[in-house]
Amino acid sequence: MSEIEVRNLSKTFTQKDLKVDALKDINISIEKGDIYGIIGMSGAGKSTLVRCLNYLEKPSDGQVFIEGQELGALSEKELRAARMKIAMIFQSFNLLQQKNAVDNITFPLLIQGKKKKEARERAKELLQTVGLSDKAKSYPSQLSGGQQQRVAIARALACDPHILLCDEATSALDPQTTEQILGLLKQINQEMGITIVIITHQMSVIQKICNKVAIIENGVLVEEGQVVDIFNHPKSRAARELILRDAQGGLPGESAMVDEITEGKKIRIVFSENSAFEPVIANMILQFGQPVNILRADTRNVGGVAKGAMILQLPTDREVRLKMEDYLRERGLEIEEVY
Amino acid sequence: MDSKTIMLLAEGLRETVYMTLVSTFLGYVIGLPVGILLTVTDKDGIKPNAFIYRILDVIINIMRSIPFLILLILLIPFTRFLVGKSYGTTATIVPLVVSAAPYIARMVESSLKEVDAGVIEAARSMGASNWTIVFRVLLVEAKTSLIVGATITLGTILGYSAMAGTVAGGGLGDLAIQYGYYRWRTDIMLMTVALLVILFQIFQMIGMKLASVLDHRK
Repeated sequence: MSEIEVRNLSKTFTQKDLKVDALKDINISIEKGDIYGIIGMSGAGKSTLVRCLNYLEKPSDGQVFIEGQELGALSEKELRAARMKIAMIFQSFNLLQQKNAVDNITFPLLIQGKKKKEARERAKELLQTVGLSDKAKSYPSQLSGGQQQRVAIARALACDPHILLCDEATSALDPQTTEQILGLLKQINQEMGITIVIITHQMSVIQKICNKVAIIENGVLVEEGQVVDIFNHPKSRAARELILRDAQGGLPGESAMVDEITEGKKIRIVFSENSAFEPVIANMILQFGQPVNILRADTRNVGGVAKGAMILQLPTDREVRLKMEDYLRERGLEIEEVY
Repeated sequence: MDSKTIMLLAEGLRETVYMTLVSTFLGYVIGLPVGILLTVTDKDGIKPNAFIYRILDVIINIMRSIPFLILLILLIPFTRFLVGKSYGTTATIVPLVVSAAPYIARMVESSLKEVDAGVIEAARSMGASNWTIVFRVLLVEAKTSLIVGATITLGTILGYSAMAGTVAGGGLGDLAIQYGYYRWRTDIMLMTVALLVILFQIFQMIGMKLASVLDHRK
C-alpha cells in the first residue's frame, strides 16, 4: 500500500462561464519514506495538486488515498482527524502573527484537546529539533524568514504527522537559508520516517533532497520517476526546460547567449560515477585537435551522488562531431542533443 | 461657576459615560456575532452562504442609512415598549444600540477580513474546525484591528448620545440644549463641549494604547 495514492484526479475551476482545467487525470503513487518532488512552472497546477492531497481543495474527479483511506469518502469530522496526520508548510510560513513561537507550535496540539502544559513541553522539544530553543518567546515579526519557516516546521511536526506537504516552502528564502531548510527536511525524513511531498519550481530543490519527482505542465503529469533518471535522461520537453533553465541560472543574458549560438550542434553531457574526475573534455580536445565550446558547466550533488552536467557546442564538421560523441560515450558519459 | 452648575455638569458627564459605555457594550453583544457571521458566510469566507450573507447585508445597509436623529424619533414606540418611557438615559440606550449594532457589525467584518487567508488555510490544514478558526484564529489575529474599531465606535456613540439631548435623552448633550441653547447659558454650553472633547480624547487614548500594547506584528 502506498502512503499516498492519487487516482485519475482532475480539478476544474469554474469562474462564471469560464471553465479552467487546473489538473487533468493525474495518477501518482508516493511510498512511505519518499521525498517526492512535484515540479512545474507557475500556473502548472502543482499547488492545486498538493491541496488535493489533504482535501483543502476537493478534486472534481478521481480519488486520493492516504494510507489506504480514501479522503473523499470521509465525513467533515473524519477529514479533520485525517488532516492532523498530514502536516503542511507554506511559502509565506503562515504563522499566527499575534502568537509567539511556542504558542504557534502548541496551536495544533491545543485544537486536538491536549493539555496546555503538555503542549508547551512538546513545543520546547520541537524548538530544539529545529534549532530555535532561544526563540521560544519571539513573535514571528521578530524572526527572519528562515527562522519563521523553522517554527512552521516545528508546528507541522507537533502532531507526529506521517506526511509533510511543502508548498514552495523555500521559494521566499535566500539560497543559503534554502539549503539549511532543505537539510532540516531531509533530517526529518530520515530520523522520523516522515514522507515528504515538495512542491517547487526550482530543479535545484528537487536535486538536493528528492528521490522521486513528478513534472506537471498545464495540469498534466508529463513525466515521473527517480530524480537521477530524469536528471540524466529527461524525456519530456518540460523536464528538459526545467533542467536547462536551472543550469543556466536563470540569468536573462546567459540564456540569450546560448540562443544566439546556433551554429554547430549543441549537446548536453552528463557525468555519472567517477567520470567527472577525469579531464575528459581536455583529453578529447587534445586528441582531435578541434576546439569545442563549453557553453555551460555545472557539477552538483544529486541524490547523494556527485553529478556534473555540461552543455557543449561541437564542431560543425559532422565526422569529427560523431567521433567526439563516440569518444564521450566510450568514457561512460550520457549524451543528448539540446535544441 | 457655582456648585449647583458643577453638580449639574457632573451628573451630565456621568449620564453620558453611562449611555456611551452601556450602548457600545450592548452594541457589541449584537454586532460582534453578526460581524462574525458576515465574515464566515461571505463568498470568500470559511463557510460561504449567499442567502444568509445577503439578508444580513441588506438589513445592515437599511439600518445604517437612517440618520440617527430620525431613528431616535422612529423608535419612540419601540423604546416605550421596551423601557416604559421614551426619555431619560436608559431610554436613549435603545436607539443608540439599534444604531450602533449594524455599525459595529461592519467594523468587525472589516477587521476579520484583514486576517491573512494563508493563516486560515494553515489552520484548516491542521484539522481546525470552523468554530476553532473563528475563535482561535480570526478573533486572535484581528485583535488589534478590533480594538481600534471599538475605539472608533465608542467615539461615534459618544457623539450620537449627545444628539439624544434634543429629545430629552439626558447627559451632556441634553444640558447643552436645555441650558446652553434655551436659556442662553453660554458657560454651560462651553463646559459641555469641553467635557465631551476631554472624554473623547480619553477614550481614544486608552483604546489606541491598548491596541498598540497588544499588537505583536511590529
